[in-house]
Amino acid sequence: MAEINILQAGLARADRDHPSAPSAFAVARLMLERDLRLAFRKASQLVQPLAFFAMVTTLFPLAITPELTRLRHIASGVLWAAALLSSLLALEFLFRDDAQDGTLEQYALSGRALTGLLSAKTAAHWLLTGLPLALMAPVAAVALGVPGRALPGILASVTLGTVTLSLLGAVGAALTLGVRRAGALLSLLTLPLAIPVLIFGAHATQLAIRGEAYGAPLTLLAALAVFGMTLAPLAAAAAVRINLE
Amino acid sequence: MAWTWFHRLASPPYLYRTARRLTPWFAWPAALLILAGLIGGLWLAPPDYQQGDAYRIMYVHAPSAWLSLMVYTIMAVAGGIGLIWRMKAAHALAAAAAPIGASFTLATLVTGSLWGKPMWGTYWQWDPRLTSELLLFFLYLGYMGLRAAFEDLQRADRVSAVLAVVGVINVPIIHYSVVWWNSLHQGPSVMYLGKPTMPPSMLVPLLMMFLGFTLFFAAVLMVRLRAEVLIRERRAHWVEEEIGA
Amino acid sequence: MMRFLDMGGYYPWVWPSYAVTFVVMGLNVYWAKRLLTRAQRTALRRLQMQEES
Repeated sequence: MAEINILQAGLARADRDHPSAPSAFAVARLMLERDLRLAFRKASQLVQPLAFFAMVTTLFPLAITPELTRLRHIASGVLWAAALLSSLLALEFLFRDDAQDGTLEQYALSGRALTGLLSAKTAAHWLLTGLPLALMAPVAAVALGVPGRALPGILASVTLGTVTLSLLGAVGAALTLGVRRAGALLSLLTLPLAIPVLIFGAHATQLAIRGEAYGAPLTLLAALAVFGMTLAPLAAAAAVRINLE
Repeated sequence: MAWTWFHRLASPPYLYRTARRLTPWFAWPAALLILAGLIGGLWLAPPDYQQGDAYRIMYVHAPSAWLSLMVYTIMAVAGGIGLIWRMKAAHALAAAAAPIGASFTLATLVTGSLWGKPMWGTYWQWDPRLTSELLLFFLYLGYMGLRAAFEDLQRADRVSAVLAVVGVINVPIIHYSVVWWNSLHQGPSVMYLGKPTMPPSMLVPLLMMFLGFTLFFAAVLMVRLRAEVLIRERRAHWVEEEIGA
Repeated sequence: MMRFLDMGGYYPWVWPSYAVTFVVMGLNVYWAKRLLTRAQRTALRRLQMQEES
């Protein structure tokens, strides 16, 4: 409950400092800071998606071949499949805790823009899961025999791709908010929507590995991320409201 | 004038009665058109220059594919209408349509696979159309799975409507990315006959099948719609009149 | 007649395709009718219970 008090104190402060219009941006930033602070209290949970990513990446050399020259050919596919699955991991709990202790409901009732708040939570999710995955991806790539010149491209594409994945995941998490043990259903909902990210991301990675220019698919990834940033919070807010009724 | 018709349809007893009366008007023409299409396609139309008699699978494959896509769109539009105007009738329509669309998506995949074996030599090929169709099948499964996860029917209706709207926006994006992905890897030449070069003897039965399948869907939809309307009616004395003691 | 059934040698794929499609159509009809009868039965039963209470 201490978390709610921190939030309410922050909101009270925001209301006091800006009595006429408690800026939606200020509230969103508060939510973001709170989510990050909460997550760092349970630091062990932050490592889990990364460990999962490393484990999944390891499966492929073990299952196929230890030869780096051959692994290089499947590296982009392995990296992206692993990234996709890892970012799905903690999605179930993106909104769950706040839904259970009533925080979400307070927000929905308070009249503040729910989309802004959900955007903040999604941003927190990306900072805590997507970005670390993106930073780990070049490391995993090296383990799969990828040449060093490809690493910046891999970093860029996974960074952009995980943004969209977090956004899509937020929509899925919002839809399944009331469902018990929604893990498999959430994956079934999110993965088909994530296919364009997978296709463009893996292609950008593949081009980078081959030493060719990867600007085109990278731009498409960025476009998907922007598209997602505009629409995903709206859909997620609609779904959260329905589930809170 | 048009709006009164629209609002009248929202009334469950009116919708129920209209659905019951419309069913034979869809069912009989559907049967006749499909029969005519079968005769035209299997018997009267000449064999194809390249594919011989194998191309006749098109007469069931293409209409199935058309249905799979059309029904998903109807589902999404109905869901959207149900969300915006809070119409139970629209949600009933979406719920009624989904299993029909999913079954024809499966039929498309199976017939596509069977068509592929003599043409390409394998039962499965990751060509853009089949792959997109497979992803569409997953979208249907996700939709029906999400519906089933909620005990509260109204919440199931509304949450799945959000998913359907999100899905329908994504379908063109997914399709485009799959087409693009496929073009990169120089897949086998397209197995579908180009429509402009089809002689009337081939084209006319195809159009009949398209229309016949669509009317078939409408007929089955009317039956399912009546059931879905009944399920959503709590205290309904009109039910007694309709079904009779 | 045999030439028709043979479908230029492609009969193992043409006829199963048509069979699958018609099975799907048949199942659609069957399931729709079953759904409706069940919904009607449930609705009537619910009405009777409401009238009794």
